[in-house]
Amino acid sequence: MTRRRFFAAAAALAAAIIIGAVLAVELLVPPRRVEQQAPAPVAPTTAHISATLFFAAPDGQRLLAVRQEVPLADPLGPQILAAQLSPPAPYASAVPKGTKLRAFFVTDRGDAFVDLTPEVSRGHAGGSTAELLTVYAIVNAVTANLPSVRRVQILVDGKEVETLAGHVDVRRPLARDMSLVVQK
Amino acid sequence: VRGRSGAIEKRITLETARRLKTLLESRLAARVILTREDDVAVALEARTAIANTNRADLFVSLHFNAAPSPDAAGAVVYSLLLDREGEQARQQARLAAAAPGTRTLDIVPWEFAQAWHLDASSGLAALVAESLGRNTMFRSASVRRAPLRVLGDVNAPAVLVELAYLTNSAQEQLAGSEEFTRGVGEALVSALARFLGHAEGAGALP
Repeated sequence: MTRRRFFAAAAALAAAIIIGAVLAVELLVPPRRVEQQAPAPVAPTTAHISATLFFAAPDGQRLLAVRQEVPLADPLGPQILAAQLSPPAPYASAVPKGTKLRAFFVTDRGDAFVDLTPEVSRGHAGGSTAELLTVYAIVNAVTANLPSVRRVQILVDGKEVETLAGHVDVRRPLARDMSLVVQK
Repeated sequence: VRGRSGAIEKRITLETARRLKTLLESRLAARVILTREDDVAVALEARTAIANTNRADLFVSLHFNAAPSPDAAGAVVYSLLLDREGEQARQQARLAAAAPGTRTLDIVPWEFAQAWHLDASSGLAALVAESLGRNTMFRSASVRRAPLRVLGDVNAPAVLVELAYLTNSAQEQLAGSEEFTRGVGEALVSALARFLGHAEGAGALP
């Protein structure tokens, strides 16, 4: 190998390592960092973030974590929940059909309040499994994508409720529970 | 919960509970109180109050499950998962109980009464699941912890049992049958007997 060829090969190798390192760093950056580092959205219609959403797993007993592009906006919470409430095919929602977000706010203590329309209760099939999936689809979607949120309380039609369908206690904010989650 | 072919949770649970009551009274000479004897709705809080005012040794909430997929099958036995406030109440109760002259009832707020019984409740849940799991009719029986409203205020070991999925047509058909009701009764009686120390070889309360 001539000297020149050696340097060319070395340079190519170094470039490859650097590109590899950049890719690795890119891959290592968790999605929430993207959100934090992004400048104020100038054109929210074009900027997106990769959010983790939770839909009903095919076995009907767990939640499936799915990555999905969500329009970047400030505040981000309503965008995340809009995507969470209407899964794209072929995914099945763990939240009753027709449920919409009425309001969303986060307190200084890191408690998020997700106010949903009455369909979330009225349209619920009941059963501990189905109800746990509904509650934790919402709690996990908010806490997984908004790092400032530690717990989530679900409200129905603007009011605090005991349960959505008779089982899961939603009188106080709930922390994330990933024990029901399977990765896609 | 309502099954696709029309099975109704409230009817089947009442039948199952009546069967269980008879079995518990005859085999264990237990005093059994149902939170309802008829087709009436009893608020979650009222169910707990019935258990607490009667100084129940055990609380079992019977249910039939629903899932977003028709394939979901099997029984699930739940004990309470405490949230942050509940966990704090539990710690306070532990500290205070170490001090002489206090009773747990004096120091555990009503809404966190179950915090004091968590270990016993998860032990009871394991026994119930094991007992149900021995009968193949139930397909499977898993144990989970969840923040369930009806368990939170109970001042005794407490579990919630989802016996089968009415959203699964095979399970729905089975759920209303005599065989199923008898199977549930036998499984629960054996689990509760073991828990209460009535079973052969079992000693005092766990």
